[in-house]
Amino acid sequence: MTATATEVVPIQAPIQTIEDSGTWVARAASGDRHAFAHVYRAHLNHVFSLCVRMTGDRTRAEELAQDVFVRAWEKLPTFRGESAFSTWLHRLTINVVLNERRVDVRERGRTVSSDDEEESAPPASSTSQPMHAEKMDIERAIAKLPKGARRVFVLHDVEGFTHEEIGTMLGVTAGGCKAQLHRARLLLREALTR
Amino acid sequence: MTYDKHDCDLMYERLAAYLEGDLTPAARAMAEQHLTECASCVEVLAELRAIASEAATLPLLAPSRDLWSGIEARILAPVVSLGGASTAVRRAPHRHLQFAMAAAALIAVSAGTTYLVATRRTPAATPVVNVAQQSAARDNDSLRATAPTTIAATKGTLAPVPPATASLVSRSKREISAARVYDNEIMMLDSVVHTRRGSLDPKTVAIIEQNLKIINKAIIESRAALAKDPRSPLLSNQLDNVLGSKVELLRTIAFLPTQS
Repeated sequence: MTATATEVVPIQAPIQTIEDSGTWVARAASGDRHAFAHVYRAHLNHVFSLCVRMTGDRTRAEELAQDVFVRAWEKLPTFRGESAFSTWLHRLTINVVLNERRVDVRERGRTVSSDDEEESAPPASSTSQPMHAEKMDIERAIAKLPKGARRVFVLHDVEGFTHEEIGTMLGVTAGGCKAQLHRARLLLREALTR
Repeated sequence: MTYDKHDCDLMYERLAAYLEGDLTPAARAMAEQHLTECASCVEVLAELRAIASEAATLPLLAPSRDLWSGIEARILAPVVSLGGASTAVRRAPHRHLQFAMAAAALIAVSAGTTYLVATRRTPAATPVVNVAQQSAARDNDSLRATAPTTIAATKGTLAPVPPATASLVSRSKREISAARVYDNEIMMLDSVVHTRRGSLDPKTVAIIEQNLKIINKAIIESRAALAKDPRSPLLSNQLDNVLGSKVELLRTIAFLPTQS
């Protein structure tokens, strides 16, 4: 008897792929925490990657990824399977990240315009550490983009959402979204060819 | 071959629309004509396309640490509330969940039990916080880590122990309340112990079973004796003692480490 009372439930390896995680999702939705741990393992890197790239802050991304899975646990009983679970979780992740921005704004007690956000580039030390070193440059450059441009770039070029979808998520017009995307690409080009 | 800077500036301005396919046919034709002749603008366009292409194939990132422990702690957290625990228990009927629920609950209930027992025994006014501190001192490490909050809350909510001259009516009410608190706590801890039984060392379980049998027998006998002589302080204390022993034993079991 070596474990302490507060020790976490050990997660059994190997971890299944996302494709065969449907059973785990169904079991997790019925309240099986072990099954949810498997779901977490299967989707963690996807969720974390999105959080890192959307925020440009690795530490914050880890906190947000936790928020995402806590929310997923709470909302899983409402998941009806109309879309793939990965799509559902992806949307949830974006909502959590974007909602965090709104919470931040409220906590600061003022309205932040898009111009204000543009100035809030993340600290250099908070850039992500990708699995593959050769991608470091573009990851770092993405992290250093202004917040608005970074979010649009990640959602469009990395995640593949349309301008209309992004506009709905961010509350901007499709035209504004295109402008931000182009700005982001130009800034990245500048950073990567420097 | 070089071109008018004005044409390049115009192309640069229209790059976004060109990439998005938003140019009018005439403007697009003009841009494509320029691109057939300007290596510089072709290079810019190629780099922008390369960025978009690379972004679409970025590898997944991994966090620097496993986040599960933090997530697990939070999905267990809602059951801390005694009043609102039912939903979480329904959704996650796992022994660790119930264990965590009871761990949080017994901390809260223990203070109440201790208080009620103290009110039945202490003849003079004594600040409740002292009793609570004694209670906390008996608890194990896990409980101790959480107890200060409970004590702080207790300080603010519970009145000093009433004097021994309180009426028999109020004393009777307190005894009923104490019995209920004991019953509630025992019931809760029983549930935890029941769910944890499978994860404990079988030898430990056997000893627990044996001790619980003895205590349960003593409780039955004490209650029977008290029913015959309800005003006997000796029997009342005796019942308190055995109930307290059961609570202590169950609490100890609840915090026993899981079998490896």
